[in-house]
Amino acid sequence: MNENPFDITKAVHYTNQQLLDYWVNLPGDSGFEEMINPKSQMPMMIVGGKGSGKTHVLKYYSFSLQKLRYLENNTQSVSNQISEKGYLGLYMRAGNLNAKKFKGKIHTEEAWQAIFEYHLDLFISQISLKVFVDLIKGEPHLLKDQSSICEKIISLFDKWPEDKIPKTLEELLNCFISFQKQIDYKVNNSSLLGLPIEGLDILVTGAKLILGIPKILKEEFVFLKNVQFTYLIDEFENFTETQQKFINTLIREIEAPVSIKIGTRPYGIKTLETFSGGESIRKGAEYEEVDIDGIFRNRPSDYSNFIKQICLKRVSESGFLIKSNEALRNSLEIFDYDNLQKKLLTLKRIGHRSELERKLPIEELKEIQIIFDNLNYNSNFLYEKASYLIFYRSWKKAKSEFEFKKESELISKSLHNFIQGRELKKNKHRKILEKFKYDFIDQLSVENNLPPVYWGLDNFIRMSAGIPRLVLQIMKYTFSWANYNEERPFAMTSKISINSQREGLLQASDWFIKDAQIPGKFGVTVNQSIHRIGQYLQTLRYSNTPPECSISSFRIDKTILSPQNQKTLKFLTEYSYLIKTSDRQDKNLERNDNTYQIIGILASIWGLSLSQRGVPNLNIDLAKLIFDDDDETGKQFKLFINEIDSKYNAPFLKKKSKPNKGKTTETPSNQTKLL
Amino acid sequence: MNYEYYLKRSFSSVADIDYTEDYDFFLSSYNESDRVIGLFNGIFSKEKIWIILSEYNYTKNEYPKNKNLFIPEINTNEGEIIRQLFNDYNITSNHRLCIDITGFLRPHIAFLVRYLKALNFKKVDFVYTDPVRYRKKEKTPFSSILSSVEQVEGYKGTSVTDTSNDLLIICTGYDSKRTRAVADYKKKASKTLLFGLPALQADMFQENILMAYDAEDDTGKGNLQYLDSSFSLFAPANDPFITAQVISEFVTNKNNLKPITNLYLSPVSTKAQTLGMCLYYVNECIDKPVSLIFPYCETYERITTEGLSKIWIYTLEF
Repeated sequence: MNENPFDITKAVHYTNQQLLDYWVNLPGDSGFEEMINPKSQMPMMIVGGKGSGKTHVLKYYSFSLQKLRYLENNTQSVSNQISEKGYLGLYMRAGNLNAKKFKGKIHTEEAWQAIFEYHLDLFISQISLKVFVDLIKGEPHLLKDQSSICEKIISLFDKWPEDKIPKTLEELLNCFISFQKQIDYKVNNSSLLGLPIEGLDILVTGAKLILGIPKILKEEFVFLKNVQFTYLIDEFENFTETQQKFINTLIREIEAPVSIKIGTRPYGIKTLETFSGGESIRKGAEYEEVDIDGIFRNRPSDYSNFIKQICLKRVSESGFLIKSNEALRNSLEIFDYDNLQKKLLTLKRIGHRSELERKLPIEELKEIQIIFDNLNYNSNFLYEKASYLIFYRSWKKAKSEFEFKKESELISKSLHNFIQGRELKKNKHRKILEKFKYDFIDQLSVENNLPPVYWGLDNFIRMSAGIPRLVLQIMKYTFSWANYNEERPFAMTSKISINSQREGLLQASDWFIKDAQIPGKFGVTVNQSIHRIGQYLQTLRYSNTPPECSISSFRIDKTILSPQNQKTLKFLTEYSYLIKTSDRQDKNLERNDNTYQIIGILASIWGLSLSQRGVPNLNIDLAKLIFDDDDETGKQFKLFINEIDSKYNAPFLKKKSKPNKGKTTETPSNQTKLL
Repeated sequence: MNYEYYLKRSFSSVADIDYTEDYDFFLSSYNESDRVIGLFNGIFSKEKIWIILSEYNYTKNEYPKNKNLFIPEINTNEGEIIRQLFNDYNITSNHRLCIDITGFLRPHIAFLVRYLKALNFKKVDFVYTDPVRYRKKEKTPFSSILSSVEQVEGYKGTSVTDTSNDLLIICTGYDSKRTRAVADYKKKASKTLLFGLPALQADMFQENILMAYDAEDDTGKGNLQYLDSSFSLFAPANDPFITAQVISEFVTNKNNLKPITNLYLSPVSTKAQTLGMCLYYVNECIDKPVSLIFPYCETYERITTEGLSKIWIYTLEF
């Protein structure tokens, strides 16, 4: 069995060497270096969803990877290359601090905060000291006498408890470690026995070490003359609100030669307030924000090339001979309409024909036959679907008795004109096919139990909506299935089948839902809402008369939502279930609505489009049905879906309370997983 | 440290229990399972106390009648509950204790072990009853909605800035969602799963492996890792001492190859294995960069198993 090139999908599972080996810069004019700008003094919040690659990017600019890169390029010493690059990256993950332990009923929040700040000051400073211990080991000539630097650092403390003054940075580092251990020990014992912390001297306050040590080091080391110390703090979401306030205060007070770049998930910023009178830090003036997901989404071509380069690196590192984007694309089977057409011709019964046969309220067989003769067109099922849509639309619009046979004759005429290229400007078939072609393809697939057409690397990239890990995840499962199906994935002579891609995508969608789960009861509400949105859009798209083409989005005036429902919508966006796309202006109502698209990896669950054209509106009543989470709303939503089903599907029953007759009372059977 | 010297005894029913000493206190967390109630009613002890944990959502009407009840205040954590219990009943290291861990939640079991050690108890009996089967096999629900992953009281350890060789060991069970949650919480750490083998019953190991695959993306590195001893550990599901031994040996070996920077332990499998993980911690990890993390949930299923197959008494010596 071949090794799966996509087995590891998280940067955190990589070693530093692997992080370097798998590094791919963002193509185009502006790569990651320009985006992150590690030597810029301006603090930065790097915001990105789960799997956006924040950790990989932040770690790439950390000292550990700087050193690896500079050693590979051994024309100059590491220190010289740091000097040339102008920055030194000091990476830490907030999660590693276990910052949640600085809370409890034993002390006030203020007291815990003081302990946390002291702990953090010691913790972050250890990272700087370690870097210099390492550097001096590799280049002992950098600093001959370390005792004076130690003295200067010790002078930052309000009180120094040790009788023996450390003479080297390593000894100083060990003191810091021992101070920190003392805090950990006292905090842990206090929570174990339920007793207040006693005898803990806070030896330094106000982040003096975080801000002061770089200044001292800069004075002592010549190569640091033009170098900035860039703290790279990852997983900001792991800090509590008060702890974030402290970091925000640092952002406000930071000065050369120090800067901070913070990595956080979109929902990770709990506050922008500082301890400077509760004022907030100001975007643009005091910090920059880089929205990684947004950048990827706004540069689709660069993003697509970026992902293909990542995939290629992995595939070739695993020993496969695929070397170009083209070869990579070609290694996955892609959708071919001719194949679908041929497959449909082999079927005994075709879904939409059988459906109409059931629904036509005509008893005379001869008349039924004429109608089908007029509507059916074996040479091209897309044309035939256009005829059916025109037919259903007329049926829906009919105010009095609908003349089925007559309408079918008109449609047949329109089709013939279309085929022969006559009167194209007004031709209904032309207009409909221009808009609904891809909807018809998906409908034909679903109605006949064939998979919708989400296949191929380019589609997978679209489905990821700027989150690289999603593509890697789909490829991982797809590769596993291809291996299982003995398809020899990435061998030059074979392609990964649509079947393996379908299974892989199914598994990846399931993974996404589990992975994006929001903790707590609220997570259930959010999950329920996305399922309702999906179900609603699916009901529209797979109806006889879809109101719009390429449905996968909706628009909403957020101001109509209750605060709770606004929160749900916000979370759906922050956890990437929904992607906020361009705002649309409603000219008639003079208001700006926000438009949201279901992320592609989930769109596949409900068979929704990956494009965004038709955008139904969610009015206040519908929004409540979707976002409210009480049991009654759940029942009402089911009734609503039945009403929508009746409204858009023949025989187009209009009265709400009247029980529907026949087969159209049920929601379409394809409302669960379509793949 | 050789944990295999610790004493464990098994009995097929409460009536068969062979008492080596009289117990002053018998502590059990109230739960409707026959195996929990049967033991509470049958065991000999000067005083028996039911602890009513709010996570099981029992209403007053459902509380056991005419019994000694300890009802903690709501919104209190495992540390606060256990400390309050010991204060209220004036339980000290001079008393002989027996604790049935079958109905307790894992963080409470963990805190108990750590607290008993801090209070200088020398020897305590812990009881665990094996079920015949889980109610819905590998699909058995155990917990409701995840609240958050947190460090367990008393097991918060220290932390070091170097994270290059962090390790997370998860005693994994059927509750794959919780395994995922823990693995996701400590993303950076490399992961090792410890499975119950032999399982409580023959088919449970396979069911456990099935559920572990559900968490594969968060826990590991791909194909077939869970059947490979270089990625996984195995210890009997009902033996805390072998569990402690296996973890101890594994960590020692890992440290010999390359020192572990931060070690995280997470018990989400059987309560006997939870006991083993905690025993290892209190013997070898206090004041080191080692912590116990747990995926706390809002509520827990009251009854997850059927039948009583065996009663185990594990004597922990501190």
